[in-house]
Amino acid sequence: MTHPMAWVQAVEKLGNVNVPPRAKCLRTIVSELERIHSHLLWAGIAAHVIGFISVFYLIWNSREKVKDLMELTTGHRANYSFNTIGGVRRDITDLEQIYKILNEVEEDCKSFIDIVMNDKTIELRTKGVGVLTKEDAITYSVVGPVARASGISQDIRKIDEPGAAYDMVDWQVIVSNGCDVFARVEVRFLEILESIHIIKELLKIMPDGPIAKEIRPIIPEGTSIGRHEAPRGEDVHILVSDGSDVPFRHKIRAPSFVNLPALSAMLPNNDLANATLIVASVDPCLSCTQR
Amino acid sequence: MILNIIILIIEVAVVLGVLLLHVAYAVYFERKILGHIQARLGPTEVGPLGLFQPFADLVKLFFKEDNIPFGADKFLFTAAPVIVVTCVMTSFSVLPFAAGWVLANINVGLLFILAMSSLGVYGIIIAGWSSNSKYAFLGALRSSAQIISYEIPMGIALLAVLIMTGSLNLSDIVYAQDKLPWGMFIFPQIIGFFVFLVCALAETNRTPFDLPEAETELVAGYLTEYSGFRWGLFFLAEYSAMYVMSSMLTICFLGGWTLPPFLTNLLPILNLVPGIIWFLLKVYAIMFFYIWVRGTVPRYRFDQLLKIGWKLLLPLSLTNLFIIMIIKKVFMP
Repeated sequence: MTHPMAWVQAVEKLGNVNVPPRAKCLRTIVSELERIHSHLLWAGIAAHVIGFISVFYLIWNSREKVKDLMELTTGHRANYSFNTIGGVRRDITDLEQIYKILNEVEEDCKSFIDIVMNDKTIELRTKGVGVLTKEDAITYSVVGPVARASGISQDIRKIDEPGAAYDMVDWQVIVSNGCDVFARVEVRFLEILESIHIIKELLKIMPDGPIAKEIRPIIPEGTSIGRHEAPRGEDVHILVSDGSDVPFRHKIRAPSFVNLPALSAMLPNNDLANATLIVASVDPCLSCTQR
Repeated sequence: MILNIIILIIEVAVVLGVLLLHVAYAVYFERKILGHIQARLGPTEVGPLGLFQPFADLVKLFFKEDNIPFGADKFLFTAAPVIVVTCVMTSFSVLPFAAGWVLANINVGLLFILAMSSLGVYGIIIAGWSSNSKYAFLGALRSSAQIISYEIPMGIALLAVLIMTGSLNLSDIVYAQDKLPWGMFIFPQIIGFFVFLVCALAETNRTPFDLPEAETELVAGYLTEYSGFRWGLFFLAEYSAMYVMSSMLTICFLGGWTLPPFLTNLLPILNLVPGIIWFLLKVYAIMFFYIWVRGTVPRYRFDQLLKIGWKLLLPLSLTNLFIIMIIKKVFMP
């Protein structure tokens, strides 16, 4: 969901396409669902890394509910094919079910936050581990939850998402000054709650209307940059068009590509046991870095 | 003479057979309980309620390829699981399961069990060293450091039991508890009980002290290069060690096969129930506690683990010893 978001926004910028407001809301809802699922997946893996297998199972059970919701809204569980240039491909009809599952997930997340934030052993394992100071975070130009956990209030959703509806609702950028693994856990969990808040607000104010432009625009010659706040951080797509019906060049920079080098600032002077935890704390997607 | 030997052999075979059955179902028990704690079902496929799962696993382990890694010390690699299993299994010979139900009623039973659990460490170190793998070696080093550190508070906690009883014979320890009106050493040795409980978790490499086999750090610790039936032997040893530790807790602190006298005076019908039932109930209660802990606690880091052992459990066990010495001197001269 996140890569198509960045891609269609790049194309829409170049082709000067206005997305219908209902399509904007739908895009935002699905990309926030994607964030919830991604953060839950990460939290489960983090629990597994510190040997908390029960929490791993509980979190992934909850993620399963989000996946069901994805199937309900987009028709697919993993590769949604939801976005199209100038809109989306499917409309939401069954609001009852969405509210029901969202409330369940919210309850689950609150109990996870209660477990994770108050557990003495988790505190012992994560507080003061893998510190990435604000200065280091700026030097390595990290993005996403890793940057926000180091006290940098940086979020593309607030700055540059013309194709999405983030400006239609009121929401907070979650920032923590902890700079350690614990802060990254905290930021991600609170972001889940914030995402649920965004979705609920959008469902309330979602206007009626078309969900896509009927006529595909002709993309002129030029260059444009599409950005989207992926669950792991800022995702950048650069489109160079020569005016034909295929892109001349399409460059992708995934968030893990900039987050991974910051490990060289977090890892020194740590135990072997901390190393796995620190690497997991930036939510690395190694396949994403090779593009 | 020969008849005695034959009877002894039959006894050993029966104890071993019953024990292996218990170990097989301890694995089932654990998978089922852990499954329900973690919102899963556990084994359900093999037989009704998955009850034949242990046998399916056993058959699978038997038919797996016997793999010895390149560069490993063949002799030691094959000897290590045998050492571990032998040490654990030998411990059962001195455990009294009920009044008179003991294979070897020797006078140094307590020391024998401590000695066997210490000897078992050799098997683990040899396993780690002979595998010719860095993960196995690191796991073995961790395991040995952990077991040696936690044996000290454990020994001191048992020393307090020794002061109360005046005998190293495990049956005598149970009889001594039976003389108390409340029938258990857990009072006043509640600190000693707690120390032993935590140390038993560490001695058997159970969560939250399962660092020697922390899969996200060391693949599988000293077990990394083992597969098939050799791995099965280690597994058997681990679960048997859980039984040894649970039995030790039952015998030394919970009154073994006896019930508290105030209970039997209240309900004389309880005397008709054989002692082995009470013994097994107590052992399984502790086993359930082990599994419960595994389902609710994350793993510690290695330095934190050693810190708990030396800075928390050792002073606690010494305090316990001191309190028991005073109680013994003042109230039970």
